[in-house]
Amino acid sequence: MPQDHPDGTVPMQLTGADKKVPTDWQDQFRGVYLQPEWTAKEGTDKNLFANIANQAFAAVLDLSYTVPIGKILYVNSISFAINGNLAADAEKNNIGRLYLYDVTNDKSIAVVGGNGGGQLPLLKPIAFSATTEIKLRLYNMAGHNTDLFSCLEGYEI
Amino acid sequence: MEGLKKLKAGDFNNMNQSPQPDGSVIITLSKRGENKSYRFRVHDLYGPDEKVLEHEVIGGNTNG
Repeated sequence: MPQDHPDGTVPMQLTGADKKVPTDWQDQFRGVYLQPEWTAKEGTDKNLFANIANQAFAAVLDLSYTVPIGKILYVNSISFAINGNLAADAEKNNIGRLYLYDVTNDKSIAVVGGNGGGQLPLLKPIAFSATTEIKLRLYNMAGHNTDLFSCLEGYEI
Repeated sequence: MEGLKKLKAGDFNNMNQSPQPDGSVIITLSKRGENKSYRFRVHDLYGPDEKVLEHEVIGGNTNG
Protein backbone atom coordinates (compact mmCIF):
# COMPACT_ATOMS: atom_id res chain seq x y z
CA MET A 1 0.00 0.00 0.00
CA PRO A 2 1.50 3.38 -0.96
CA GLN A 3 2.34 5.93 1.68
CA ASP A 4 0.52 9.23 1.29
CA HIS A 5 2.43 12.48 1.39
CA PRO A 6 1.55 14.80 4.29
CA ASP A 7 -0.36 17.07 1.93
CA GLY A 8 -2.70 14.22 0.99
CA THR A 9 -1.29 13.50 -2.46
CA VAL A 10 -0.40 10.05 -3.73
CA PRO A 11 2.72 9.87 -5.92
CA MET A 12 2.07 8.04 -9.20
CA GLN A 13 3.98 7.62 -12.43
CA LEU A 14 1.91 6.48 -15.39
CA THR A 15 3.69 6.11 -18.70
CA GLY A 16 1.50 4.89 -21.50
CA ALA A 17 0.74 1.26 -20.66
CA ASP A 18 -2.16 0.38 -18.38
CA LYS A 19 -1.02 -0.08 -14.81
CA LYS A 20 -2.73 -0.94 -11.58
CA VAL A 21 -2.21 1.64 -8.86
CA PRO A 22 -2.94 0.39 -5.34
CA THR A 23 -4.66 3.05 -3.29
CA ASP A 24 -6.26 2.97 0.12
CA TRP A 25 -9.51 4.87 -0.24
CA GLN A 26 -10.91 3.90 3.16
CA ASP A 27 -11.58 6.82 5.51
CA GLN A 28 -9.92 9.23 3.15
CA PHE A 29 -11.17 12.06 0.98
CA ARG A 30 -9.90 12.35 -2.55
CA GLY A 31 -10.49 15.17 -4.99
CA VAL A 32 -9.55 15.99 -8.55
CA TYR A 33 -8.37 19.52 -9.25
CA LEU A 34 -7.53 21.32 -12.45
CA GLN A 35 -3.88 22.32 -12.51
CA PRO A 36 -4.48 26.07 -12.04
CA GLU A 37 -6.62 25.40 -8.99
CA TRP A 38 -4.13 22.95 -7.56
CA THR A 39 -1.21 25.35 -7.94
CA ALA A 40 -2.96 27.83 -5.65
CA LYS A 41 -3.20 25.12 -3.00
CA GLU A 42 0.47 24.26 -3.22
CA GLY A 43 1.54 27.90 -3.55
CA THR A 44 3.08 27.94 -7.03
CA ASP A 45 0.49 30.27 -8.56
CA LYS A 46 1.58 33.57 -10.05
CA ASN A 47 -0.73 36.57 -10.17
CA LEU A 48 0.76 39.63 -11.81
CA PHE A 49 -1.05 42.96 -11.80
CA ALA A 50 -0.28 46.46 -13.07
CA ASN A 51 -2.06 49.77 -12.93
CA ILE A 52 -1.62 53.37 -13.95
CA ALA A 53 -3.95 56.38 -13.84
CA ASN A 54 -4.84 59.20 -16.18
CA GLN A 55 -3.26 58.11 -19.47
CA ALA A 56 -3.80 59.81 -22.83
CA PHE A 57 -4.80 58.17 -26.12
CA ALA A 58 -2.28 55.50 -27.27
CA ALA A 59 -0.46 55.52 -23.93
CA VAL A 60 0.66 52.12 -22.68
CA LEU A 61 0.79 50.26 -19.40
CA ASP A 62 3.64 47.75 -19.28
CA LEU A 63 4.02 44.83 -16.92
CA SER A 64 7.40 43.06 -17.18
CA TYR A 65 8.56 39.77 -15.78
CA THR A 66 11.46 37.42 -16.45
CA VAL A 67 10.98 33.73 -15.71
CA PRO A 68 13.57 32.68 -13.09
CA ILE A 69 16.29 30.16 -13.85
CA GLY A 70 15.05 26.61 -13.32
CA LYS A 71 11.36 27.52 -13.62
CA ILE A 72 8.67 27.43 -16.29
CA LEU A 73 5.85 29.97 -16.25
CA TYR A 74 2.44 28.76 -17.44
CA VAL A 75 -0.06 31.52 -18.25
CA ASN A 76 -3.74 30.70 -17.75
CA SER A 77 -5.28 34.04 -18.59
CA ILE A 78 -4.64 37.68 -19.36
CA SER A 79 -7.17 40.41 -18.69
CA PHE A 80 -7.55 44.15 -18.46
CA ALA A 81 -9.89 46.87 -17.30
CA ILE A 82 -10.09 50.47 -18.48
CA ASN A 83 -12.23 53.39 -17.38
CA GLY A 84 -12.44 57.12 -18.04
CA ASN A 85 -10.30 59.15 -15.66
CA LEU A 86 -12.92 61.89 -15.42
CA ALA A 87 -16.53 61.40 -14.46
CA ALA A 88 -17.53 63.08 -17.72
CA ASP A 89 -15.82 60.22 -19.62
CA ALA A 90 -17.16 57.37 -17.52
CA GLU A 91 -19.92 56.38 -19.93
CA LYS A 92 -17.98 56.90 -23.15
CA ASN A 93 -16.34 54.08 -25.06
CA ASN A 94 -13.26 53.11 -23.03
CA ILE A 95 -11.43 50.89 -25.47
CA GLY A 96 -8.26 49.00 -24.67
CA ARG A 97 -6.05 46.44 -26.37
CA LEU A 98 -3.85 44.05 -24.43
CA TYR A 99 -0.86 42.16 -25.85
CA LEU A 100 1.24 39.42 -24.33
CA TYR A 101 4.77 39.67 -25.75
CA ASP A 102 7.69 37.29 -25.57
CA VAL A 103 10.39 39.97 -25.41
CA THR A 104 13.31 37.56 -25.46
CA ASN A 105 12.20 35.94 -28.70
CA ASP A 106 10.51 39.07 -30.11
CA LYS A 107 7.10 37.46 -30.57
CA SER A 108 3.52 38.55 -29.94
CA ILE A 109 1.84 35.64 -28.21
CA ALA A 110 -1.73 36.71 -27.52
CA VAL A 111 -4.00 39.72 -27.79
CA VAL A 112 -7.38 40.70 -26.44
CA GLY A 113 -9.36 43.91 -26.89
CA GLY A 114 -12.52 45.33 -25.50
CA ASN A 115 -14.59 48.27 -24.38
CA GLY A 116 -14.19 48.70 -20.63
CA GLY A 117 -12.11 45.55 -20.32
CA GLY A 118 -11.59 42.05 -21.57
CA GLN A 119 -10.21 38.66 -20.71
CA LEU A 120 -8.53 35.87 -22.63
CA PRO A 121 -8.82 32.58 -20.72
CA LEU A 122 -6.34 29.98 -21.90
CA LEU A 123 -7.59 26.43 -21.52
CA LYS A 124 -4.23 25.33 -22.85
CA PRO A 125 -1.74 27.37 -20.80
CA ILE A 126 1.03 29.21 -22.63
CA ALA A 127 4.43 28.10 -21.34
CA PHE A 128 7.47 30.36 -21.05
CA SER A 129 10.83 28.78 -20.33
CA ALA A 130 13.45 30.00 -17.86
CA THR A 131 15.08 33.40 -18.52
CA THR A 132 12.33 34.40 -20.96
CA GLU A 133 11.28 38.01 -20.50
CA ILE A 134 7.58 38.60 -21.04
CA LYS A 135 5.68 41.84 -21.25
CA LEU A 136 1.98 42.49 -20.84
CA ARG A 137 1.25 45.74 -22.68
CA LEU A 138 -2.09 47.51 -22.51
CA TYR A 139 -2.88 50.33 -24.94
CA ASN A 140 -5.39 53.05 -24.23
CA MET A 141 -7.36 53.27 -27.49
CA ALA A 142 -9.97 55.67 -26.12
CA GLY A 143 -9.97 59.27 -27.28
CA HIS A 144 -9.69 60.61 -23.76
CA ASN A 145 -7.64 60.01 -20.62
CA THR A 146 -8.25 56.71 -18.88
CA ASP A 147 -7.13 54.60 -15.93
CA LEU A 148 -5.56 51.29 -16.98
CA PHE A 149 -5.35 47.93 -15.21
CA SER A 150 -3.89 44.66 -16.50
CA CYS A 151 -3.55 41.20 -15.03
CA LEU A 152 -1.80 37.94 -15.86
CA GLU A 153 -2.64 34.74 -14.01
CA GLY A 154 -0.72 31.51 -14.11
CA TYR A 155 1.62 29.27 -12.23
CA GLU A 156 5.33 28.64 -12.09
CA ILE A 157 6.93 25.28 -11.44
CA MET B 1 17.71 44.39 -1.90
CA GLU B 2 15.53 41.58 -0.65
CA GLY B 3 12.46 42.47 -2.70
CA LEU B 4 14.37 42.49 -6.00
CA LYS B 5 16.00 39.18 -5.10
CA LYS B 6 12.58 37.66 -4.50
CA LEU B 7 11.35 39.00 -7.83
CA LYS B 8 14.32 37.51 -9.70
CA ALA B 9 13.93 34.17 -7.89
CA GLY B 10 10.17 34.06 -8.46
CA ASP B 11 9.74 33.75 -4.71
CA PHE B 12 6.26 35.28 -4.54
CA ASN B 13 2.67 34.62 -5.54
CA ASN B 14 1.34 38.12 -6.14
CA MET B 15 3.00 41.07 -7.80
CA ASN B 16 1.74 44.58 -8.47
CA GLN B 17 3.60 46.96 -10.78
CA SER B 18 2.82 50.64 -10.83
CA PRO B 19 4.83 52.67 -13.40
CA GLN B 20 5.91 56.12 -12.25
CA PRO B 21 6.27 59.35 -14.28
CA ASP B 22 10.07 59.24 -13.93
CA GLY B 23 10.24 55.83 -15.63
CA SER B 24 10.75 53.84 -12.45
CA VAL B 25 8.31 51.17 -11.30
CA ILE B 26 6.91 50.62 -7.81
CA ILE B 27 6.65 46.87 -7.22
CA THR B 28 4.86 45.12 -4.40
CA LEU B 29 5.41 41.40 -3.83
CA SER B 30 3.65 39.08 -1.46
CA LYS B 31 3.67 35.36 -0.85
CA ARG B 32 0.97 33.14 0.53
CA GLY B 33 1.62 32.29 4.16
CA GLU B 34 4.02 35.16 4.76
CA ASN B 35 2.67 37.96 6.89
CA LYS B 36 4.55 40.70 5.06
CA SER B 37 4.97 42.30 1.66
CA TYR B 38 7.97 43.81 -0.11
CA ARG B 39 7.46 47.22 -1.67
CA PHE B 40 10.28 48.76 -3.67
CA ARG B 41 10.85 51.26 -6.46
CA VAL B 42 13.24 50.23 -9.19
CA HIS B 43 14.75 52.12 -12.09
CA ASP B 44 15.30 50.35 -15.46
CA LEU B 45 13.72 47.06 -14.37
CA TYR B 46 15.51 44.13 -16.12
CA GLY B 47 17.71 46.66 -17.90
CA PRO B 48 21.46 47.27 -17.78
CA ASP B 49 21.07 50.18 -15.36
CA GLU B 50 18.67 48.43 -13.02
CA LYS B 51 18.79 50.05 -9.58
CA VAL B 52 16.59 49.89 -6.50
CA LEU B 53 15.72 53.43 -5.40
CA GLU B 54 13.52 52.67 -2.39
CA HIS B 55 12.73 49.53 -0.44
CA GLU B 56 10.52 48.69 2.50
CA VAL B 57 8.97 45.64 4.11
CA ILE B 58 5.32 46.08 4.93
CA GLY B 59 3.66 44.08 7.66
CA GLY B 60 0.53 42.22 6.71
CA ASN B 61 -0.41 40.28 3.64
CA THR B 62 -3.97 40.38 2.46
CA ASN B 63 -3.38 37.71 -0.16
CA GLY B 64 -3.82 34.73 2.12
